[in-house]
Amino acid sequence: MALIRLAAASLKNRAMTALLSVASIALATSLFLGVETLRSSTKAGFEATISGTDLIVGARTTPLNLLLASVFRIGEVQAPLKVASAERIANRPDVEWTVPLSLGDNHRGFRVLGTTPAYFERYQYGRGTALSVAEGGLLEDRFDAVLGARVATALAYQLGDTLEVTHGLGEAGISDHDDFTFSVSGILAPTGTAVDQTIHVSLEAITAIHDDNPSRDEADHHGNETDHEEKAHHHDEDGDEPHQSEDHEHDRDTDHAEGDDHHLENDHGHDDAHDEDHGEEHEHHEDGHSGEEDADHNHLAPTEISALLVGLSNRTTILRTKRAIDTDPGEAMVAVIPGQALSELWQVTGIAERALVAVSIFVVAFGLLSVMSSILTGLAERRREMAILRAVGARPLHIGGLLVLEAGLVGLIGAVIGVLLTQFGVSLAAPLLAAQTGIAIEIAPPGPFEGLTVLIITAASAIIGLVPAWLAYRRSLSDGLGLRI
Amino acid sequence: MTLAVAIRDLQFAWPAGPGLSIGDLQIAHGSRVFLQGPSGSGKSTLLSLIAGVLAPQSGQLTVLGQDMTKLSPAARDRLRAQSLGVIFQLFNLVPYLDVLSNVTLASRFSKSRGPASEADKRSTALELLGRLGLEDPALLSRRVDRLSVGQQQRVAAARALFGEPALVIADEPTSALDPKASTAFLDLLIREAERTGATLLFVSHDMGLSEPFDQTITMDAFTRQSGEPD
Repeated sequence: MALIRLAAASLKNRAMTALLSVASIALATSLFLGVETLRSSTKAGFEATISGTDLIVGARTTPLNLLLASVFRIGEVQAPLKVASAERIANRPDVEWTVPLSLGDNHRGFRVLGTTPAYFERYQYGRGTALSVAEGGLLEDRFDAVLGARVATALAYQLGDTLEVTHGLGEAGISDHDDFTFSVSGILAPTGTAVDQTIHVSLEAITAIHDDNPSRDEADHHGNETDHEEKAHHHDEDGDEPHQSEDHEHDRDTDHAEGDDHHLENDHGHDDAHDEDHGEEHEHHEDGHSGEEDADHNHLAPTEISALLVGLSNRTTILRTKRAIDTDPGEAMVAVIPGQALSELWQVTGIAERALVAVSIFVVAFGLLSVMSSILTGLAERRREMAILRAVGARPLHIGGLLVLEAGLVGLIGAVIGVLLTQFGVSLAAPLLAAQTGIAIEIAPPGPFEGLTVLIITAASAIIGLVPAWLAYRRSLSDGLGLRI
Repeated sequence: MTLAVAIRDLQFAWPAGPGLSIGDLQIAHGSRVFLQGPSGSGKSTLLSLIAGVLAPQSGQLTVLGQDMTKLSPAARDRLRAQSLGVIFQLFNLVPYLDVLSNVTLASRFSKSRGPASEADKRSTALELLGRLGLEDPALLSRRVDRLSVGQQQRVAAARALFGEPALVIADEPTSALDPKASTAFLDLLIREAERTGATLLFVSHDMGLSEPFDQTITMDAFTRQSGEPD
């Protein structure tokens, strides 16, 4: 006890140096803990974003791309999925439910998701929590919009307000006449997921936007014209054979052709690309019978979506179902198990994470070295102090112990301050992360991990204090009471 | 006559070579001894040996009845904490402790040094400082580096005398003081030693101070190889 009091008094006496050491340990600790906290809570946040959905199906792309684009609204779905394929999946006996997702539009920077009312029943997050409505109702009218909690607060929208949706993902739309006016019919309760950042509208509304927007993808059309002409011919002969990989673009063009059809019906003028598309138009009639039939009684029935959420009647068949979809002869598709794709993501980010953790550990090591260097620097001028302590009966072990204690105290105080700094820092970072990804990270009070970190840093600091302690121990043995001033 | 210190045929050599050789030295219990020698004569080495910080390579060394050659280093440290008081030439005090903590410092390393309770330690220290001419109780909580050199040396004397040690060793304690203060300090030291019956071993190069002592020993009496820093 006497030594602890001495060590504390000694540190207090060298407050400036001690404070610097404490600060370096505190900063190092909070960097380490901050990296760790953000890493684990971001992971937890991502994993809590979707649950209850067994498979996500989209046109063939990487599983990660499909998952990020469809659920986290990060990036874009590379190619659309034909509604015909989606219907084929929905009709499978092992599939209990499906929910279509159509992305690609925005309103003032927030993504617009076209879907069906089933979405609000089937989509779950966290440990199987369903979405709940905070205000208003769900999608009843074609141009109803249900807002995520953050959209509503960020844009200060209330029920009945109107909003215009712009095609494309940029902040500014292409032009005014592309916009459609929606009215806010409901606002969802906050979820801490990307849902909060999303504006939900009906799938038909999305189709309507795209129908009335023939100018989209014009460039694509031009770029692929010759291709199309040739392919169209091949296609007629191909019949029902599995599509080749290049058919993605082809399919999309087909749908445009259909869109252009509607223009005709609606008395819209032809656009430049139109004339050259006749080949496809022709082909469309051969290839897309089901879509055509739907269009007959509802010309806003979609022909393509971005992704399809799938729930199975029996989860044990998940791999078989996935394989069946992956190898579907009708369209090149990919079925993604959300958890699996996420672990793929963690593999990718794991390298960066480990690098970050390694860097923060090095920073902690530097902090500890600075503690050692400050104690070593002070040692020369404290030689007399050591001799006095020896004279009053301190053993060389006491002298060494005093320095170990001082180092340990610096480590302890620094680490504890570091934990507090981390809490503060994470509470500052959390809203930023939520704004970027919609993922709310939980700010938990310091737990066993923080406790262990404090313990380890204190111990490491005390161990590092052994170096000056050993020097002082040796010196106090050889100095005796020989007092050189 | 009991002896506070008894040395016979003592040999001590520093690892670097030089050392000290003492044939016979006896200091009676309760006596006041003046040890005279120029700097570099091995005085500090001798004091370190008596204080138990160093151990002789051969010969007999008995301090307060304890055979120092048979005691472990830890036991010698304990003996010093219990029964010895040491005053240095200068800088006797731990700079980051207040006056009270400095005075009672030895009691932190030996339970039998001074009274047990903190309150008693405090009042004992206050009395002791009062007898040494530092009456102000506010002084107890003052940082030692705020004191004058003369005050510091009196606090140092109080630190050495606290808990009534049987042997007080003073190594040139007056060399930083002016002659008048030197004499006054010496008087205080002798008076306190007499009061408690402590043996006082006073080291100085200045023979002018030797008058009030029972016995004078000069370092010339001891053989010494050259080269040891003092």
